[in-house]
Amino acid sequence: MSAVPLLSLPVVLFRHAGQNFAFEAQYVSRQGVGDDLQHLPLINYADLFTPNLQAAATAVQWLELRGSLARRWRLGLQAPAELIELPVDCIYALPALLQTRQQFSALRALALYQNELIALLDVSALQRLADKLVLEVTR
Amino acid sequence: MSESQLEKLLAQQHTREQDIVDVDEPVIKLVIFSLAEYYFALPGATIKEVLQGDEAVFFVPGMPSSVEGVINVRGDIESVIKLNGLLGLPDSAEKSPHHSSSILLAHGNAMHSGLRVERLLDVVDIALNQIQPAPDALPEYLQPYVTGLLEFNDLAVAVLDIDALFAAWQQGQG
Repeated sequence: MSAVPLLSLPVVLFRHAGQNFAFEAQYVSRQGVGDDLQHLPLINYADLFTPNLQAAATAVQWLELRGSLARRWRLGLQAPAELIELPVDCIYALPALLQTRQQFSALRALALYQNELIALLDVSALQRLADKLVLEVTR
Repeated sequence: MSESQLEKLLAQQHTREQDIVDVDEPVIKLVIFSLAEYYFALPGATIKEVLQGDEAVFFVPGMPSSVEGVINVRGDIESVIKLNGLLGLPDSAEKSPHHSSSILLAHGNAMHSGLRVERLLDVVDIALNQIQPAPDALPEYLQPYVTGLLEFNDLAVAVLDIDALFAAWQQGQG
């Protein structure tokens, strides 16, 4: 039996520093605004994307992510996220030349959607960045 | 006194001989452009297309400043980079409005990308013997990329090696 061709990819989209970012919705367990899941580590996206800059504001929303080894953690966002269906024909691999110079290891692919660029992120790579950050803070 | 018919005949023969020599001379197609008021050329065989400079370029986060972004080329995307840093030139993007610039779609042996250039001057066939070897006095940072020098319309034009440019850029230069 042949697989049904994928027409769209559900992603969770959010804005940060004036840019669009998204990752696959299948890795998001839930979202929240309060601090009712204090037992899970909370890492702000700003600290992962620009680790050398102090985050300008605290998170207004968090997403609980299921990363590698089924580990759960929370990603703090400075703007609300939304679920969208991204048509597969607007998703592109990162051009080869850019792969060699990317400074943000979680950047996996690009999408041109409604005349805007969306940076598609690898949740496992985000988790590795979060682990590294936690290690540095606790050292 | 009327002009000698013999002289006319000899002059025509001389011109024909010169034409024959010119045809035999190997030529190379060059795409000549400017960047920060300096003049460069790339072999035409490495430039697949020239796009208008006002093409919409989408900024890609998490990239060095020499990456301008990506463009949509007939349903596919292509990176657009600036060579100014690699060639030791000031960034001309802010001074030069994009409507007067161009994007060259360059293909090397292993890599391809759009290159932002300030102004496309011409695409010409040049006899190979008009290209002089790169002089030793060339700045050290240009030596890996410049394969020769050419005088074109009283301008000094440096002929570049696209593969050397891409290789250096990938290694983090520029």
